[in-house]
Amino acid sequence: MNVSLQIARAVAKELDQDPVYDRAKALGSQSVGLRRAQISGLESVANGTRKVSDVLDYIKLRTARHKEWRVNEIGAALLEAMEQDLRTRRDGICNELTSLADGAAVDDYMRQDIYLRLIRGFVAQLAAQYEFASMQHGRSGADERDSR
Amino acid sequence: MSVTAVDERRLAVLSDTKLYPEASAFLSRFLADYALPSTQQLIGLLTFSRSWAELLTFVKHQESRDWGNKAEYQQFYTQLRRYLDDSKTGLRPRVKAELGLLPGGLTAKQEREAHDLWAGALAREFVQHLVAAALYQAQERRS
Repeated sequence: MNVSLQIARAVAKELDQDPVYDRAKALGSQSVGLRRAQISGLESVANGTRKVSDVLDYIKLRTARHKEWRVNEIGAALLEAMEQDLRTRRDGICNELTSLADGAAVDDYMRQDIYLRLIRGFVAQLAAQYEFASMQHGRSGADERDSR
Repeated sequence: MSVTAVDERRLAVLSDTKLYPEASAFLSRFLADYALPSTQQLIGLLTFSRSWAELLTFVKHQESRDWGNKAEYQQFYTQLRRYLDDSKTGLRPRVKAELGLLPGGLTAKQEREAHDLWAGALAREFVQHLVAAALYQAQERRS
């Protein structure tokens, strides 16, 4: 199996873990104070950048500038999830790949790629949970406003 | 032939692995002794980070201003100038010595151009991380 496929499988397996799903679910519910456009903005940054730091900077700036990102400490919780939990999971995947590849080095580019894939997958899960939680809170009106 | 662009992929990795943690560490060290500069100062810094020459001119100008009772502003710019341009440990000399970003076979002029491009690109990433972290910290301290 080539390295790309190994990375894709390892990331998918990691994102499928119950603690990741539970955290995305909790953060998605915690995010209902945000507008849909704010969640879409986070998805766009995560999917459009090649730097993890762009996603982290984006959350820091939004949290500093917009009070919605401070409700339920959602900004801080997101940063914690990405900088602690997902980073640890990235390291775990890298260790696993090193042993699979007979000790061949996992370079900085691969480490960054794995980290970004984890963040993108996590944000996608969070966005889905946000939609569901918003529906439960009867906030479909906010969605309509944002889609104009 | 002139050098007109940096390797964006390499820049992205350096931004994540070196400049982001260094911006966090810079801010933590500064906040151990001083208060944060104002939001306007940070936004100004971000604005001037478009090129190496503009950024360094701005930082040196701010460092040499008479800040009156705002000694922390002068300290901020002094420490930032050292981080960027110290002759041994600054970001600019690191482009060649530590990071090995300059290809071989360049003329002196081409090497200077490449050096400026890389220093500017790295500095812009560093400032972006520094400003985001500082604005976030400022908000955390207010709440």
